[in-house]
Amino acid sequence: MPIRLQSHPFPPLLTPQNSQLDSPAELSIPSLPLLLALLVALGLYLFCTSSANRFDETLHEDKYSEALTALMAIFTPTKSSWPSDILDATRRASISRPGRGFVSSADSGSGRGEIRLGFSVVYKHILNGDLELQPTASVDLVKAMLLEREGMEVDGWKIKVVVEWRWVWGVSLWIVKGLGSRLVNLSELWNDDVQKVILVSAAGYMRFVLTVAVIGPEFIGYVSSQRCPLTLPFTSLNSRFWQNALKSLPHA
Amino acid sequence: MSQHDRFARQLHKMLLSRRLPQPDHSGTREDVGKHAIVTFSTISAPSISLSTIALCGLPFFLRVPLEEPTPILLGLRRAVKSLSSSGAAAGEERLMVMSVEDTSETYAGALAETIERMESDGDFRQRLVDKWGVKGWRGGMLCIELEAALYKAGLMKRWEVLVGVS
Repeated sequence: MPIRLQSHPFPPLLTPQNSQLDSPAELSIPSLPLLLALLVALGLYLFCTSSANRFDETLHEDKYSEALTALMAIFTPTKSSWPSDILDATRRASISRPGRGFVSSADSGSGRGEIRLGFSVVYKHILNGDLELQPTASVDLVKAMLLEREGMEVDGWKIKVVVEWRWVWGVSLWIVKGLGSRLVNLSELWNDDVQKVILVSAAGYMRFVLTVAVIGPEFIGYVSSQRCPLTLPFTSLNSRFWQNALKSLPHA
Repeated sequence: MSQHDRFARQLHKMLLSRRLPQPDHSGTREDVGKHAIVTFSTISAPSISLSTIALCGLPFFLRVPLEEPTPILLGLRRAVKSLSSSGAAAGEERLMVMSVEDTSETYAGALAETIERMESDGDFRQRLVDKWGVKGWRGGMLCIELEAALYKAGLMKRWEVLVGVS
């Protein structure tokens, strides 16, 4: 019994019955020093990273408030404090560093983290009214969403808004669905009431030069129906377009 | 016959029968109502990936419960082609594309005005809140903001195609 224990220091893992190999005894002996070495390496790694984290804890509060200030470039909290999951994400950002271990702990004082937010979280808080988009920051938000790898940089902080896969999936599904069934309804809509569609008639006495713009790759278009008061300004946009066009004509 | 071809055909018929509403500044000439503007948005990002499509589709997708925008697989080139190749019967006036204009900037401006109005015009806001609820109103604003940002960032373009019969 004691001899068997020596040759199989980890019985549940390396039993001959479970092993697919022909001679388990041969394998278990060289794997013992290997496992020990791995354990030592793991222990060393955990020790290093935990000590680095402990070192970070002192800087934590500074970094934390710094990160929240950076976040203010895009969002404004409407209540007296930020929503808790945004705070959590920011706290994670102020602890985590680009790399771990000995090398990065040297420059962890200057290195700033990245704040990673899910679009779902942002969307939820905006709907609930806990968070507002800064009036001028919508382009920044789109950039932070688009440049998922690089993110958007504010005061050395990287802000990333991740569009989760379920959104990608939802939009793709919506496009595919729209291509099928709803198209038929749309043509009925077009037939019935032109006012419902962004489609505005124009005075007939204008002549235009055909100017087809050169554009990049594009293959998906969106048509939105005009059934809500939201789209009212669009018609005024169109009439303004026509007023401008009238002005540019010599005899109009 | 594809969906957009059918649309072009319907538009052609409407223009021929002069069933389109008259604009405010329409003249008294007899050919009034022979033109229409078709506007739509297309993706124009330098590289198109699934994430770009998702990002560009997002403001429209989020708006689905509010106003049902419809996605169509159609670029500007094909839209113009489809609008200008609607078959005309003998003796009918042909449907023609007269101009194509990139109105992304003006449109983004109009969207910004809408957001402004949604926020500060009490009457307008109340109507929207009654219709969609407070969450719907906030979500609607976010959609419009995101959409305007897509035009400003150059990821999408807004087109106005002027068509007419002659």
